[in-house]
Amino acid sequence: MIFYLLIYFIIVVAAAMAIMSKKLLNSAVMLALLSIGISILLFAYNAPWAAVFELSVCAGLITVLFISAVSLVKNDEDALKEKRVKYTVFPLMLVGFAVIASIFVPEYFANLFQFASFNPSNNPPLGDMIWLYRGFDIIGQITLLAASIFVIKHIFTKETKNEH
Amino acid sequence: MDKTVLLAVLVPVIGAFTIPLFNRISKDLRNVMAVVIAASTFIFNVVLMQNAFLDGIRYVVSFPLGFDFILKLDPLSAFMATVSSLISLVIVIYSLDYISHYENQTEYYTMVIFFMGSMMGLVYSDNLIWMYTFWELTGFASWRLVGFFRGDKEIAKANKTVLVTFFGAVLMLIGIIDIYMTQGTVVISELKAKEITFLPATLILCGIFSKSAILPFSTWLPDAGVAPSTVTSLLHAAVLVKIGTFVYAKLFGTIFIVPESFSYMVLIITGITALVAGGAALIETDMKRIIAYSTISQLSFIFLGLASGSKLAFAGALVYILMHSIAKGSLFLCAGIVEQKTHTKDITKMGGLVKSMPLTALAFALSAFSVMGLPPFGGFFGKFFVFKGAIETNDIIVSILFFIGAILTMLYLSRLFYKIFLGSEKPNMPREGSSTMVASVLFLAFLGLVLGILITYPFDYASITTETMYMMGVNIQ
Amino acid sequence: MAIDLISYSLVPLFAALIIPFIPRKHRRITEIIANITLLSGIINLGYVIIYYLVLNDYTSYTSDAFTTLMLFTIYLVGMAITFFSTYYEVEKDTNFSSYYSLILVSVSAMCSLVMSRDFFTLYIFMEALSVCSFALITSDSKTFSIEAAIKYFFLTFPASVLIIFGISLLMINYGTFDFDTIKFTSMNFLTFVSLSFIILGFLIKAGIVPFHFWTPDVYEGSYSPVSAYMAGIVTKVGGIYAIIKIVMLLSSYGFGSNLSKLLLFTGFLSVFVGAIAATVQKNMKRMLAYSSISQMGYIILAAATFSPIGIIAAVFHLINHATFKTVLFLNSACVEKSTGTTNMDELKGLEHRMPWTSWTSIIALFSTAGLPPLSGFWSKLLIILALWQSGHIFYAVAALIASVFTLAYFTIMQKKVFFGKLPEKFNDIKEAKYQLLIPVVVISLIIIFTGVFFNRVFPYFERILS
Repeated sequence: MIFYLLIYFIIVVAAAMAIMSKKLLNSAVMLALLSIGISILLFAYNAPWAAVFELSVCAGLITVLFISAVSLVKNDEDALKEKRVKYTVFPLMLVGFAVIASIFVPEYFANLFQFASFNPSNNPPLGDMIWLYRGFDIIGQITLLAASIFVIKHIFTKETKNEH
Repeated sequence: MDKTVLLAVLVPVIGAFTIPLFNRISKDLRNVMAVVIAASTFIFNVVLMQNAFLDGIRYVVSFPLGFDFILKLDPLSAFMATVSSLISLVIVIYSLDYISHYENQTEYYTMVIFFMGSMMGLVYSDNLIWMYTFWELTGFASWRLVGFFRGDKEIAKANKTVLVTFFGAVLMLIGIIDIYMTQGTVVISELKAKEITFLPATLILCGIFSKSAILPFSTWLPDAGVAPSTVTSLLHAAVLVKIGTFVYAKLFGTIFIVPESFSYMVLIITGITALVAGGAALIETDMKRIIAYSTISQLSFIFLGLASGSKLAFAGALVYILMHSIAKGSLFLCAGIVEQKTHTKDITKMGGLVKSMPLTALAFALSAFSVMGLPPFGGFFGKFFVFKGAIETNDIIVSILFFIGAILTMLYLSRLFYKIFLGSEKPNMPREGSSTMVASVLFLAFLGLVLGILITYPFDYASITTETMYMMGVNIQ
Repeated sequence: MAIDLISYSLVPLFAALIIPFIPRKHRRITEIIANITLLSGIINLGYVIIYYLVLNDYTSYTSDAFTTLMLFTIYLVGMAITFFSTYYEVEKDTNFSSYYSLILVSVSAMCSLVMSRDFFTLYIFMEALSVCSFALITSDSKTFSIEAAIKYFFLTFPASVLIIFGISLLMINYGTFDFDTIKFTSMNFLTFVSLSFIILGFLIKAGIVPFHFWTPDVYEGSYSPVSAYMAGIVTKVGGIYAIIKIVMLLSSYGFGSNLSKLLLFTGFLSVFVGAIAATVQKNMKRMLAYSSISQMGYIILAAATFSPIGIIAAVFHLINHATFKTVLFLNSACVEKSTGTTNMDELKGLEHRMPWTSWTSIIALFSTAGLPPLSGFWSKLLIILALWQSGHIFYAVAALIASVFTLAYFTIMQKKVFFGKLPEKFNDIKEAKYQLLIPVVVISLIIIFTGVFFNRVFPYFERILS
């Protein structure tokens, strides 16, 4: 129980920090942390498939992309002053939402349980799972990775050229 | 024989696309080839007409869903094809001189031959869907041809032409699909003696009226007068508008059994058209528009013959198709000569041309007599039998409408002739047209006279056609 | 997952990944690699298809023949665009290596999309495709293209969210994503909601009214060959293909009268809104965009009948429309290159200076309007027959009347752009380079031949889509 609470806490804080942080790099790192937290959660809830993918895709792929994108963007955030709402508004909203959610949401999730169709004993081993059953997803991941790399290269390199 | 039918369609259609290739080699070769292709089509059709009363000459390429490409020979088709190819051949020869003054000649020849080919495909086609196909292709060719001079106004008129006829054709397609769904087939020979309800008949009729420029779809025809004269001649007299009458004759005269009310509706609409067009022709001042309105008016007479319900009138209408094509073709070509030499279409600016263009005046007069229906010209016989049929319907209103129409015909044609050729001379008298052009119009004019004198031949053919194919007397009481 | 066709998606991916390793100055090699990859794919596929078309022997091939046909279309359009882009603007110095990589990656993604046999894989590759097209839209350096890309982003990415939401609900209900194992034996509420979300998402991606608001701006604003690419294949494979797949799944279970009515109405709206809006447009590319919306409406109308002939008609029209729009957009790109503008009020009478462009555009536009015997007529006829046979006579008649509007806006375009007198300022216009014309002419020939030889083509379709 403590374990679960700790994971929830990490996830929520990481998400909030990702939005509120001033530096882009920090946001990216916080997102990675968020993904790791969710992946651990999924492992704990007996969904190893989802956990593996969450880990490899979100914590790995996406973070790589974000960090490369962030590094390509020039660091002149002082030129464009971002309009920030007061620092305390968002955490207050978060707390408020958490309170309201804790009142209404659990019933919904209890309702949702009847649709659950997971069977813990049926899960094949990890290696088997990745290569045999979802082999095609590897290609999907490579395609997505390639697509994203080229998108960033295409859009951002032009921008840096324009700024010269 | 089967192959001849195919050749009669394919030679012009494919030949049309070889004309740009010939143009690369030399202009004269292109002109010669155009004439050769047109002439060979005419010869094929004459050969086919000899064998028209034999049974079972068809050429089939099968397509899925019952949309087979079938070409079938029957007397009505052979008749129509021969008439059209003859007029088109004369027009091509006329164009050799007429078009040489303008640009875009290669496209002109291509489209004219293509037009001819589509017409052949249409008359010989035994499947409604392929008939529709060739119908649309003639629309496409006419779009390019009406826009020949490439000015803004011309293109706008060309667009109007193609849109009005396309709209009618779409309605016709709806009718065809309805027939397909209710009868299960669109092969015309299989549909013989089937009943057809009012709605699909009306839809197909909309298509026919839009192509044949009967009210309310007639607005495009006078506007298409911005095209070169040969084109309007082609469109108005020989090919395009006759398509509508042919389809009407074939579908509603010889294949389907139509309700009485439908035929009656056709008679009333065409009667009103005859009057309105005749009246408009009387007050217009643009020479080609007058002749265009005259065409609308004469087409109503043809529909009168086709729809009146008597075999004699039907045969008379077929004869009149032949006579009118020749006469109207000649009238338009004469107008072309006059226009090219006087550089105007406004008849108030013309006068006394009989002195400087006597041959053209002669041809014009002869053709006008034929259209008016004076003996012994061919037009007289056609109109006479059509009127006989009208009287046999025992309907006063129809008869009165058409009689008034006939009188109007005489009036506006005489006015036209007077204004252009007789009357006081204006300065700058133009010379006579070139020999090829004058020869063509004289040929057509005299042909009208000769056919009138030798009326038995075409009339016999028409009567035999009617005897073998006519379905309208069969009632479903 | 159709494993045996997988090389068709791996090869472009591989080529795309090698391209960045070529040094910048050897731009020619990049172009050659891109073109050769797609060319080899298309020759291969062409051989396969013609072989089976001619031999009439589909027995061993039926399960994958539809996929092969879609692959062929993807490669055809991709090849045309790549070849066209190679010669379109040789002087430009921007980052063109990633342009070709993006096209290759998106071709690969589309191929994997049509090869996928379950919803999730479909989704992954659709996402990859969206991302690539988002970047491709910005290929021009004008600001309008960036605005177009942002519009695309904001309208279609939420659509992806809807799709994944629907897919996950489907997963909850059935426990699997597979096409073959999901059996829609009963339509309970959850399946209904999930399918609604999925179809809604794909309708947005395809640019159907009333979700079409991104389409005109994107087609008008993006780089010209990319507009052709988007209109030609991306909106189809990324949007309509999935809807047709769902219809194919549902039709074998006898469901969908409500869905049918909804899709029919949406299709009908698209047809008319697109046709009427296209009539008043001043910019050629915008007019072509509305025309695309209209034609997509026809495809939806056909698919919505849930009958075999409807599905055949939908697929045939899909492939046909890919060819028409590619030709038309590439033509507008040629015109833009020669005259510098696509504003139809400024253009006039280009027919004699650009004869090939003019005549291929006539072929494409008359085929779209449904002039027989071109291929567009047959597909429209099949659509009308399908609608009529399933009893929706009103929609059939309406679709036919809309053809008149189609012809109207196209003849207006012809009047303004090609068919007229040449004004003074355009006296030096030359025809587009012959290399730019090759893809256009090839595809026009395909349009003509598919139409004229329809009796060969149709049984092929019937077999593979039964």
